[in-house]
Amino acid sequence: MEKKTPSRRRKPFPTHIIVFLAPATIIYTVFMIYPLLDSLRLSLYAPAASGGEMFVGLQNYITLLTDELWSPRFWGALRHNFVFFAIHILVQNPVGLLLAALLSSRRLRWRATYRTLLFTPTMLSFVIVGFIWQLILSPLWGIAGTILHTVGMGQFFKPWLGLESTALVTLSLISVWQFVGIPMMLFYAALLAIPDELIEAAYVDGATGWTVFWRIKFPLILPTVGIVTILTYVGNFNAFDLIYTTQSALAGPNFSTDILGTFFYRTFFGFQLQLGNPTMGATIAGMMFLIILLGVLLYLFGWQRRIQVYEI
Amino acid sequence: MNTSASLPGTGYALRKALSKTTLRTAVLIICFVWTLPSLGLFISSFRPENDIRASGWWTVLETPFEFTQWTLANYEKVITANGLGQTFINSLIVTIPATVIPITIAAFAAYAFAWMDFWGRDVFFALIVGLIVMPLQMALIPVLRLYTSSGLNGTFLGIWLAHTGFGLPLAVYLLYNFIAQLPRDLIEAAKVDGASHFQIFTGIVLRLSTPAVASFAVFQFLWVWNDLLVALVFLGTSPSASTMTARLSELVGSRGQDWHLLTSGAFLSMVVPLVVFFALQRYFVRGILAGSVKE
Repeated sequence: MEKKTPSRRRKPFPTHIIVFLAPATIIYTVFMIYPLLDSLRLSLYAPAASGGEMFVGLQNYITLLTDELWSPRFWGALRHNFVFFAIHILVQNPVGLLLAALLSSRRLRWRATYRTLLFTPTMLSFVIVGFIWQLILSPLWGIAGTILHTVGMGQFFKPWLGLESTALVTLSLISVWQFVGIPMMLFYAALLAIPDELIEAAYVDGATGWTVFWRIKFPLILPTVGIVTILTYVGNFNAFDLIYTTQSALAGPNFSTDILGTFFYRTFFGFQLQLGNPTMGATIAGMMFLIILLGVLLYLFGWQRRIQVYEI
Repeated sequence: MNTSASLPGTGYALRKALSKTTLRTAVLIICFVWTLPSLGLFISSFRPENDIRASGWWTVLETPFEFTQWTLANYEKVITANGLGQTFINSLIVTIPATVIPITIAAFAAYAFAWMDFWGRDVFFALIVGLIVMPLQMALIPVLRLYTSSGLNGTFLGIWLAHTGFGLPLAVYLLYNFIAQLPRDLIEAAKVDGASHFQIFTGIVLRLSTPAVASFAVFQFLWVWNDLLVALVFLGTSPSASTMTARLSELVGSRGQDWHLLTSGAFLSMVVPLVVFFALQRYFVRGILAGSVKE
């Protein structure tokens, strides 16, 4: 290539940097930074008796955390969010890792087919997923009851989606079923990126598949484990659709599946007799933002710093 | 493990064959269980309304070649009478640009953060990636107000830009992780040869980043295609503009009785994501393998 220009010697105006970054910057400012600031601003206001909005400082946050009408809903939703998150971390991600490990085994044929089958639920929308599982778990004509009765465990069948004690766990597991494909794919890609020589050398040295996985492969995919953890944590707060489509915005029975997403939706847009309250909605969104931020910072400074990233 | 290493005879071969069978069985069982709910829905979508109500879908498997029990009526009805055909096209119009635009913008930005030196780069990058933590709910109302005042509400341009904005933090993060790990020698050598940043970006970086681009494209495509909240807020529910997911959720609400129609609607909405997944899966794997061979 013979495109050396003499102007290279002086430091030119960084046009190329601006060209590369301008589109992203503009989109960010309009769709992220401006809404963030505007929502935070709105959370400091309340509807005034004269119409319009008046500045109330942190009063909305105090109401949300301590008021006897607001605070039980808020703390309940937050607790449900953490249950939802815990089930994803403890079930979805280990199962995803296991599947990725199984599928990345060279001895397995038709890997692409298996991978696609396991990824199929992820391609369904929440609307469909909620619909399928309502059909399966329905106490009236659901197949789940029939199967349990056939194998003689009929007494264990319950209308899981309708009981306060089981609805949240059932919905979390449905969500796991749907989304296990994502961690599986990320882990799978990371596992495939590990050079074969490394694995073969370990096998030649007499290591078993188990040892190779935990001593060589797992440390190499730790960065992916970190990404998956963060995505699970953040995604858990954006969860809304599944609960909205199966249990409606009221997140029944008796608010037992209410998470911050549905709580926000009811507050912001209103539901049935309850009128929409934009300022309290913005306050809930603000709390969600703070909670997510706190979790991510804890992760970044507590864990990311400690893990070693190996160069492959 | 010591014994098997020192005695690589028949016992070792037997164990290897056994574990191969175990592996295959385990994977088969998991895949079967995972697919069963969707399979049931798929079979139901081809059964006449009365059969669906009378018996479970698995009963057709006893006599799969009795063609009277299969019908396309559910598909016909849901496409024409329920206007799902138009929303299918709307979903395509929404999803394709809403996947391509963020990838393009994010790839440029990720390259700049990885391979250009400028003042405040780390802070700027941290700010952009940090916004992954922003809940979507926070953006809805300010953006909606902005759209109403600028006339973008209910337009496809509006929803493309909104999805671009919401998808960018993850896109920049994933692409940066990949692009920053490309071999420095490669970029430096191209610079020494006099290639401009734009030439390096299009000629080397983009081509090597296929795996990262493909995996983000799968996520973004699925997210936009299946999204309900953003489509409801920015496009509304009029049949001429609404997406397939929004329409289906309306059908679930208003036609809870006619769920035989929903089974076919569900599968129509799955066709395109399946095609995209199959198409990108090829690049996904090939790109990764090509990347590791080059090292």
